Amino acid sequence: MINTELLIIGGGPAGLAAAIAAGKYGVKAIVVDENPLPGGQLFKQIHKFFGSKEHKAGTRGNIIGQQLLIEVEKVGAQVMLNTRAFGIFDDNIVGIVSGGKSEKVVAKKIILATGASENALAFKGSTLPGVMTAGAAQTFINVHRVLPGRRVIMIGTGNVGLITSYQLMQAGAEVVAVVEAAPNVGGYDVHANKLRRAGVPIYLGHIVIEAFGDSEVCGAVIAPVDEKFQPDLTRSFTIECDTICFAVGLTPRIELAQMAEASTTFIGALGGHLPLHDNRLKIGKNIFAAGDIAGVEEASTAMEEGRLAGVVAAMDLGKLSEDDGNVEIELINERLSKLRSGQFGLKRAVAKLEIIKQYDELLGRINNGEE
Amino acid sequence: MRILNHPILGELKDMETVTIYCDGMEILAIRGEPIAAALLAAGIRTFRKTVKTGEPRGVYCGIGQCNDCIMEVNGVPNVRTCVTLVEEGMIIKTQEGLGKSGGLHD
Amino acid sequence: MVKNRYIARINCLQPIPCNPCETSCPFGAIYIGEDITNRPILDLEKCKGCGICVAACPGIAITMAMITGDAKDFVSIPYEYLPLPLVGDTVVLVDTNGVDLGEGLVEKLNRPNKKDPTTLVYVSVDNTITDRAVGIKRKVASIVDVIEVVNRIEIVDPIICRCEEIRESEIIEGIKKGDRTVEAIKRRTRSGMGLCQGKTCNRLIAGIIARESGISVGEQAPSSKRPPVGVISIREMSEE
Repeated sequence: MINTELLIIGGGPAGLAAAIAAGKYGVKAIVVDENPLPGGQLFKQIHKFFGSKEHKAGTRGNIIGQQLLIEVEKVGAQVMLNTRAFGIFDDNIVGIVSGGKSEKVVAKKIILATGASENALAFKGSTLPGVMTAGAAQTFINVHRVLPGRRVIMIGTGNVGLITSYQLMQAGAEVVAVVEAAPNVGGYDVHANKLRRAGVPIYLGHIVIEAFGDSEVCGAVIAPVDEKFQPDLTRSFTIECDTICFAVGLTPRIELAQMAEASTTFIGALGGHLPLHDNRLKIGKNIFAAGDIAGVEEASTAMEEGRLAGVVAAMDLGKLSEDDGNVEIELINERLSKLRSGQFGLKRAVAKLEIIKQYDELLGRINNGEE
Repeated sequence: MRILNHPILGELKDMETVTIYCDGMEILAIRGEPIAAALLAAGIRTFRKTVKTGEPRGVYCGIGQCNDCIMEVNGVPNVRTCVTLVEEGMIIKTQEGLGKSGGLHD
Repeated sequence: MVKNRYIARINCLQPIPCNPCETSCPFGAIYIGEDITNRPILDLEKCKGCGICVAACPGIAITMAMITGDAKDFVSIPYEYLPLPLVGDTVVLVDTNGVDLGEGLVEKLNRPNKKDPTTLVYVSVDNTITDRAVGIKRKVASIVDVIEVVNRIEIVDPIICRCEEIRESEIIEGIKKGDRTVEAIKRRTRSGMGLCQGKTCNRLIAGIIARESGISVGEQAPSSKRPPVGVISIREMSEE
């Protein structure tokens, strides 16, 4: 059995930032991550981040990842890789599997930073080798330095689809088409323009209806859709490719929050079902959710949320005074609200407030003995 | 295909190689990379055949979530090749259904 | 009009929370202000054409131009592909939509931020295209082969649960029999009971239930979760 003040589940941007923030006040955290490498999805984000100086804007995600790992080491947090938290039980007990053995961790405070998983599509041939998530392609090109294919069709024009398409070209692949069901590009224009300047055709109002090939994908059938997203098969056409990528959104990984009996709500703008949390990211008495599990945004907001949870955990553990902690929290909230501004960010800001509102209402009902 | 030179990440250099075997074929892999990366670099994209219909599958999520890229590794079936790092002399086999060489439950 | 020196041209289109152009400029020539979703304002007098903001912009939305008053002007364009053009090479300039504008001659390469690999390519261009030249065509441009127009397509019952090989028709069958949750479909068909534990298919199934029954994904309860999360062998679980 392992005893710890703070257990952080997930070693991506939110989890590492939480370990650093708590560690600065003397909390020795344990971070568990099921992957062989730390950093979550940061190391495949080789583009420069948006935001301002305090968000490390203009710095590439992989470089931010390196900086986080150095800071984690500095504060003395223990990162356990290849370690899966498989369940949360009563009395703050978390079951982990590591090195072929299972173990109990008893933690005074727990931060869930489990991230999100990529959404899928299903059509004829969508299980053929060569059809993969955009994140998979991004991992192979930017982390493992291997091209998963040479001629790629990207489905989805959110920032993930646009950025991954650009990075596939940087890695030496050709992006032969970007296909988007909606009538307009979902992500930032500046990302879409990188593709347009490279001559990549963006098919708006189109969907892929079939991937074909005997043992691997060799091409796709694409068709325009009407306003109800029904394809017009008479105007379908085929494009040759060896890879098709899905960039159609992410869903928060909430299993552990569910096991911890957090109440959930559905918010489409934040990726789907999520645990309710208060204005300090608490989903229960001793448990927090930070990063994509608390609403899919991007790595910069995930890091800020991780810091917030880390600081509050340090306060709860008595390592940081209420007053000093509140000053920290205010600064973090200011940085968060900057990242959640503008035509893209405001929707997320409103949705995050809705989570807190629902949490407070639920708490009110519980206190009144209604639930 | 390996990305030897990259406009942002620079050149791949000082790589330490290990030899692995996939269905008997010798493959030069790079120490520290997952099995799936070595196989994709060698042009192998079909990693298994499914249980019910025997259709081919390969890499799907690339980060250990979907389990589509499982293969038999050193006699153990259902090994996620996208998160299992290569080791010298590893014997890898295309997995047919639930796998042949080992028990389902290790 | 400023002549005979490079001036930044900012093509920042949307209110994105971002201000590295402002904070990177050593001459204070770019103003965004407290609200970082403001679009940048360039002070032409203060801009020295150093290119530091060009390399700092995460959107690759800044280029530079030098108007000479002669037939040839100059543009400076960030380029993040390989192979990099070399001095003396002829390159094709493109507009913001990737349309070819004609050729230019590479005069110089520069990396304003020595710690970052974004390279600026300085090109002499015909003065008729100076205003529109914001990109350099990749050496290997994307080519679309629309190989055939087809009418033969039938929508075929696709696999929804990749692990257990459950097809859409089986899910719809369950909905017809009254299933209204991912959980109920799981119990009927085994969808989501494979190695990935529904990470890939749950969302798809919720979408099919919504489409077939009219109960939106948000109104459906998320599928229940019990330990273990993910695949753990019996041996791992039993060894302590």
